[in-house]
Amino acid sequence: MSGSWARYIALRLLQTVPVLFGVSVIVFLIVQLAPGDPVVNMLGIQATEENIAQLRAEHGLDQPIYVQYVVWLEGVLSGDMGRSLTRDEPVTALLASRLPATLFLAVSSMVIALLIAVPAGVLSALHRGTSTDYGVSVAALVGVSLPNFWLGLVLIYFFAVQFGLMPAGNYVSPTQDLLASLHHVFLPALTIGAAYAAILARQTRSALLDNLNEDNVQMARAKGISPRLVLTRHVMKQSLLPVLTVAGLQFGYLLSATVVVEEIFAWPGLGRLIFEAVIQQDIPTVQGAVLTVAVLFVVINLIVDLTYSFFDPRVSAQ
Amino acid sequence: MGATHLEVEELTTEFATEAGGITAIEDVSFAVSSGEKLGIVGESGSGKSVTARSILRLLGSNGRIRRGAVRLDGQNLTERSEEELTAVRGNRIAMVFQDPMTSLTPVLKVGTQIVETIAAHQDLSDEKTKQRALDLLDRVRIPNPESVFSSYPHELSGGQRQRVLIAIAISCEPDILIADEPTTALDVTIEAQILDLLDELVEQEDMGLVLITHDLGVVAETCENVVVMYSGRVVERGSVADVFTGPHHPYTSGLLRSIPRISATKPEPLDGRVPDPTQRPRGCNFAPRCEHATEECRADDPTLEPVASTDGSAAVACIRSHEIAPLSTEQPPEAATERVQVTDGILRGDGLRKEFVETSSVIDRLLPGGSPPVKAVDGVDIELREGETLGLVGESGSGKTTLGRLLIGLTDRTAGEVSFAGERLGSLESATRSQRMQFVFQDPNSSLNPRHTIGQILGYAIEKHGSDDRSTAEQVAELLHEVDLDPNVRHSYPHELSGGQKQRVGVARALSVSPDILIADEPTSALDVSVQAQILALLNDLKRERGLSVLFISHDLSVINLVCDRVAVMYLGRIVEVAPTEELFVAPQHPYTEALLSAIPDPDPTAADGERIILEGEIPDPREPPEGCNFCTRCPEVMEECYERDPALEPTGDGRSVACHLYESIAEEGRSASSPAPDD
Amino acid sequence: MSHASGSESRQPRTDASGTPTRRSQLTRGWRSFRHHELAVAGLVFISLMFVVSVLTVIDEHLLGHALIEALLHNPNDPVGSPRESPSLTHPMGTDDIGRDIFARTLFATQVSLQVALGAVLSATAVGSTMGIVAGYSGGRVEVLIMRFVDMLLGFPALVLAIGVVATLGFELRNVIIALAIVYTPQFARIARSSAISVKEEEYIDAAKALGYSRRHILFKEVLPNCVSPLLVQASLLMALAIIAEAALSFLGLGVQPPTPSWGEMIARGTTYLADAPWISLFPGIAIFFAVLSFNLVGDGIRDVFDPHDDSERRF
Repeated sequence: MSGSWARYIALRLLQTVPVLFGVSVIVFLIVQLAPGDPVVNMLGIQATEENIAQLRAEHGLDQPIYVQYVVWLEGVLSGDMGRSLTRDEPVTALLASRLPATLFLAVSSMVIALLIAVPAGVLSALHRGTSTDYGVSVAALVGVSLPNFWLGLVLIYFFAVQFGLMPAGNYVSPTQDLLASLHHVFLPALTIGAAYAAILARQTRSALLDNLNEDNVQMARAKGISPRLVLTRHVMKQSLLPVLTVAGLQFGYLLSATVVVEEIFAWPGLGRLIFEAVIQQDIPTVQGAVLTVAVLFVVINLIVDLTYSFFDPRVSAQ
Repeated sequence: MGATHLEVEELTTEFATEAGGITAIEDVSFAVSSGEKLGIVGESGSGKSVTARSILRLLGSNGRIRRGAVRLDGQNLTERSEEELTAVRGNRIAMVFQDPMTSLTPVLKVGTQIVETIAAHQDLSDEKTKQRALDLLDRVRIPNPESVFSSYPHELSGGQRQRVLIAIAISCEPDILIADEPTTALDVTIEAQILDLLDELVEQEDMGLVLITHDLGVVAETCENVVVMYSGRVVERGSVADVFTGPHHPYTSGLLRSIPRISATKPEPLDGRVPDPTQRPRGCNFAPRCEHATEECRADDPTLEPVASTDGSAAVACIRSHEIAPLSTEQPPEAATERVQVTDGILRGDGLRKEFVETSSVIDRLLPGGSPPVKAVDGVDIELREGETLGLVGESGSGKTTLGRLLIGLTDRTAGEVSFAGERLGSLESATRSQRMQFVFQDPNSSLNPRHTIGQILGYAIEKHGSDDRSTAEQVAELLHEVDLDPNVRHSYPHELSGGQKQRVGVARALSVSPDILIADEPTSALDVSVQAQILALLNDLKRERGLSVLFISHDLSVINLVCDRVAVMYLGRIVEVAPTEELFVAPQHPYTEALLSAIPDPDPTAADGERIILEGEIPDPREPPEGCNFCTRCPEVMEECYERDPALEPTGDGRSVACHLYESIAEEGRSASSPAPDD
Repeated sequence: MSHASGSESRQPRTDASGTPTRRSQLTRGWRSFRHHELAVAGLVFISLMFVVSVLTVIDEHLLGHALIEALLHNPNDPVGSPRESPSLTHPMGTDDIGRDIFARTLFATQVSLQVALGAVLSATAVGSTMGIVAGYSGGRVEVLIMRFVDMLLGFPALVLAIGVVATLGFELRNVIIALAIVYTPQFARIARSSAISVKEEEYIDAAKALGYSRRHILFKEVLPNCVSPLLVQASLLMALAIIAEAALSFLGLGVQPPTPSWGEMIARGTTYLADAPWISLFPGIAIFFAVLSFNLVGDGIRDVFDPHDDSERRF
């Protein structure tokens, strides 16, 4: 099996390359098509033609578009994404300083979501039709229907403002002070994790239900194995695989959510950076940040695919 | 007979559904002991599978046993707790399920699934358990136990998976083995192997075997006693010898009269359909279809009453049985003039080849490794003659379906030519081709668009190809009439029809263009046994009335025997023998044909028990066919040159051809006699 | 379970000539949907939103706010003191400059509904066509289309939407376009996998054997069988579209004031969360109910087409 699996990995890796390439093109183009001239914005209305032209040449903005793209791509691949127009920092450094906060938030959200969703989904499937099941389904429905930024505000209102239990965001690095960082990340992670958990809980439930009545489960019961073993060995592994896929796909939701949630909780992450850079028309930063987020997402999807194929031997044996 | 006795007494099981409670089986009673082989036979809706699952109480959360008892050595299992039953399952009563692919958990290795069964009931060390598992794999005749032990289910063939299921079932030396349609999903030659294996195991282990199947031939060949079920009830039981030669119930006799057989007889179709479980008649469930039914029959469900027999176990559920029994199982002999012998070819295939490549992704093909293409059809010359029915028979991997699709153009050829009445198919306009040839599909659940009504399905075809002088609605009604369907059916959607009805619609659709040639791909394989005869009779009538030429594709030789004038046998992408039907069945030439014929279970228990040829091994992977003759890996008469050279299909006289080195000398003689050697 | 009940049990409606009316399958679907009370409730609420939207649009453009002034208060004018808590005159209170929140909430409905319907319907049309053509054609066409789809799917939804809106300008029309671009690949994916599995069915082969044109096969044979998952996805995405629009407005990247939008209203209230939480609270509740309705309807549709035995009977 390992031979064909290695081949499958190679295949998937190769297939990802054109996607990444296309993503970079889209990122580059989207920003370039924006109306408004950032150089003019930077210099103000007083700028003379010469100043504008000079600044343009400095930033290489006077070259034809495909040359700009290649230059930019070369830079990206060698770690140089230009300088922020508004912050006077190299974009790469800016991204590097913001990435850990977002990653920490994303991972915490995922952990909270999984801790809630999987047991809820399993319980709900096993006790199908009872009030437990009904309760979980309702909760999931509510979770999916709540706008996350609004939920964030509600949580802040109750926990921070009224009862002063939790701080309203403000990132503390886990390497600095683990306990404080968990304390600070709890509310924003819960905000993002709620909808994520709702989706995953429903997915877990339906995957489990699909599998519980399958022939192989009947067969396992007919062999006289204990019901607990039937569940863990024959049902769970197979049911959790589609959940894994959905979790990966919905990771995009997590990244999207960070844009708004980071803003509410004053979280110094990539999402907030994208938002601020867009408002400020800081093109290099927007390009760099969006590219980073997109690449991250594509890579996560790839990892999910590969993990799936590792656990389901049918996939690689094409 | 033996040590353990399983008795089922008036077992009644029901299921809760949205439509209310459904009684799946009612008052089912029979018994089986160690060393005894009992068959439970019935069509779909008979409740035979539910019976098996009820014995082990594997009913899911919406099923329950309403009344009755299942006594294992006196102890009533229906009263035992779930825990106690877990100790019985797999241990004293074991079950082999129908579909080996879905019965094994795909993400677990085969070895794990065997070992856990043993570990559940016996207290052995890990090493010993593993050793026992390997021994079991050897016992079920799997060639490389070690390798199979560490494989995943999807890496094995159908036959191997079924053996694994059997190995799991016998792993704890059960007293009773219940096998639910163990060979239905398998090819005929593999089926023969599995039945032989079951036979041997039952004798060696002194187990009781309950064999559930719809195939009467399998029961006749394997079992001593039989229980016949219809629409949730037992209608008859007794010894196979008695029941199959002189049945006491009209259904049993009707069933036996309606199945195609190898002998030169013509089946008598059984009219009507199995009633829907929610719409069972008040009285006897079979009364609507029974020619002997009276008013009394329709009043109440008849109970099982004992009937005189050699061992006292026989019974029948029919109030008129003493008046009408014993009933006939005779089928009228086939008229000898039915076979058509013609010589003008209307459809030809020359040098046809089809290779399937697994994927079309560019990157996938650039990477080293990956699977070689599947040679579905590997060099075939075939000729369908005008007015005849040519049978194309083979097991899985033979390429028969692909060949049919190549001829009609549904699948692109990799190589070779197809000609219709002399003209090459590539040059014929698509419209002409679709008017001259049509296709009847296998799966009634997939061959009709679920979003269209029957009227629409036929209407589109008529609008495209029909005649202008009559309205579409008229032509639709005509077609429906021709296939014996109520014209009102045109307002229905496919899911509202039965399998047989859907198949008739498929035939009607094919006929709507008034074709000259009909290619029928397993048109009856997905249907119940008693319905098959109806459809085959219909096809025969239509062929005569419309003067069609038919290419009939099937894996079932008894059906081929019934319908075809000539037969071509395929194995692994090649034709190995062609002959007129009579002669093929009476004197097969190719060793594969011989084995195929002998593997067919005969529903007549009195038939001479000739030496059954059981082929060893599996059908080779079509991606890697053997060097030389494709059959060399399994041929009982293999010679050295068979491994080296592929035999060509050569005529051997009397309109027969064979592709086998055994007949090369005959073929040569024929050649040198009929024409002088060209280069002399 | 065999459906051998024959044509006696369910006679679909027919017209005079005996051919069944198209509505037969639809009415059957509706009858089944009707039994899901929650889904129907969702549908009712959506209809309500629709009515409110139409009324507010008429009122704003044709009546000069006469209607809303008669019933409540003008949504754009400060009619009360700022940050008044909810009372009888102002059921949802007033915002930071004294405008009636209830009236503004009503007027914001049309924005959400326009975005939901506009973005999703366009995405469905474009995406489904792409997907079905890709799935049915296979080969290079499929690869080309799906690679493009993959590229778009490589972006988290909101990030891509922000990018598009930033490029085109911050207004309602562009929000619709942005979300349409974001959702099109999702429909393409679903339509493609649907088309691929339909392609395998024998009735497609039958259609080819009968010589039907490619157009007939794509539109009459394949498409009708791909509709159900697309329909389910459409209603679920409408729910997401409402949240997405609100998020964009919240960030100030969507419709611009003075047009009321639920997201923008929530953003206004963040600064006053401690003293006047109702400014953010009520618009959020409105979003919640709107999204919930679409989700319920989507679930209802899914149950109709792909019934899971959810409320299984037990003894």
